[in-house]
Amino acid sequence: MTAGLRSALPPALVLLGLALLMEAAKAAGLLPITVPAPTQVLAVIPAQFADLVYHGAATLRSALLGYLCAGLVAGALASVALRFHGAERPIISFGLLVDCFPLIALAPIFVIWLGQGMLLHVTLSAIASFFPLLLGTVKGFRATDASTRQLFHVMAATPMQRLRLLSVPAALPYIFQAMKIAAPLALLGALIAEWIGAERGLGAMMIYALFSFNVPVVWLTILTVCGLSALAYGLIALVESRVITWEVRGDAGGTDG
Amino acid sequence: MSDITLSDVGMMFDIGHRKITALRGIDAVLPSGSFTALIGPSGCGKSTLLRLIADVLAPTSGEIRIGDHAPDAARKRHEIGFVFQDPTLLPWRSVVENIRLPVEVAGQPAARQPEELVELVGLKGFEQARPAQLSGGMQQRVAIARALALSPKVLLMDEPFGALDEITRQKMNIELLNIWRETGTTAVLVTHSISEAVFMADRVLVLSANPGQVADRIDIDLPRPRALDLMQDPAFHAHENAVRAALFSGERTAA
Ligand SMILES: Nc1ncnc2c1ncn2[C@@H]1O[C@H](COP(=O)(O)OP(=O)(O)OP(=O)(O)O)[C@@H](O)[C@H]1O
Ligand SMILES: [Mg+2]
Repeated sequence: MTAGLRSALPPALVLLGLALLMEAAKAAGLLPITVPAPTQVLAVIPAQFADLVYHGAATLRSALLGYLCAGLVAGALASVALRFHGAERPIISFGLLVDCFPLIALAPIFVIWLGQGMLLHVTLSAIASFFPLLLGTVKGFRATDASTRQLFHVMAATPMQRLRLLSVPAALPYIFQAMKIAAPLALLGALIAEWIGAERGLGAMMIYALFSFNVPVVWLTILTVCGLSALAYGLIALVESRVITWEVRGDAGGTDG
Repeated sequence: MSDITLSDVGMMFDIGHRKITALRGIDAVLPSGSFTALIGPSGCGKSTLLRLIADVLAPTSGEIRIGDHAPDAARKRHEIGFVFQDPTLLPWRSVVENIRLPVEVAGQPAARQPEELVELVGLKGFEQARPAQLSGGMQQRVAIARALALSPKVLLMDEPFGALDEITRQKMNIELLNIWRETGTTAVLVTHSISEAVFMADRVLVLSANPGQVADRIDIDLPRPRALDLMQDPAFHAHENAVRAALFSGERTAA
């Protein structure tokens, strides 16, 4: 619990500090009309709350599904890379390529293929979160030393046993690390997809508020996405602290917060 | 039967631009149930030889048999116990769980209960500890216990006692000899200690370096069971001197 709390604390403090700063700046007349004071944003919450939940749920669902799909594909590809050594470089290159495409430019093309429904949102969310998950899993699978692999060879472990008893546990710290990085990206992917066209979702709410020049609501949606990202990160960190109870060597350890 | 027969075994490593001959022309028969010590300068190929016997590496020339079969048959029947030069424990498993690992992998009933093995290697009370909480010497003892979990027909140990203090080392040596006698396993022990080699083994193979070759083979015909006071015996010193002489003459021919 404390570890999860501790990892959620820094982003929360940063947000709070920023809010205070903005409040002061707004009061001093330093901020343009497009930037409201945090209290103005807070003031619209009661009226917007039902909408926020309605749209937020859709975004969360898309992001979660996209994240899961990305995780499954990343896990499968990483397993292939683990089994066939020569496949590792092409697989990483593929992941990098997917990651390098500018999502905003890609989104309209995907609309043509997938329409504007949830399929689009899930797909873009998956694309946005794919690469860190892939890289983390591949790297994690490699985090075993030669003599431990030889030990499994001497014990005549089957490939499945090797995966279950060695590669997966060794990779877990790296996978959690990647999951924490990828969760906000999945939300961002869903958000971008919703901008392009959606009836429901925080992205749609944001665009609608933008076009009706409802500045506080625009900011409210932005802050909601921030909050959800921080929450997702914190939740994963919490699970991580429960699962990784051993001392982790190498560059996967001690990166909480 | 699990005698280990090495016939003209050679091992060459290809490291890109050049080849390293780690071992050349190794001939030896290690009878079933015997205890052999391997001693030689650093880098002479002792670890490599153990890996060849365990079928981790395949020799580039010559042949190795365990009993009537190639080493991979024994390995696939889970008949080889291996203690690596470093402990190679799984950090996410407790001491008992690490010891139980070969049993889980083989899907066979444990020949010795992991709890019993913990006690045997003097780690009672540390059953649930994680490897990171143990000292290097304690970790290495866990690795020894793990290698014994299935009572292997062939027990290969690569400097298992390197990280132990003198007293613990002697204790472990005696325990190891007891287990070896009980189980009739064919044991090979790599060591840098001349007295340990003589104390433990039926025969000491002295290797020389560049390339790794058998410089000499010294039979140790000291009575068993062996106890610590054997080390005071003039016969023991005579054997030690013979091993030392072989070790240094090997060094001289290599230079
Ligand atoms: N996987 C490998 N690839 C290339 N060369 C290797 C490999 N393993 C061992 N060697 C080489 O083979 C030689 C023998 O190495 P080995 O580890 O068997 O020595 P050793 O006798 O166990 O030494 P030590 O007493 O220091 O443990 C060395 O020259 C080493 O560089
Ligand atoms: Mg060695």
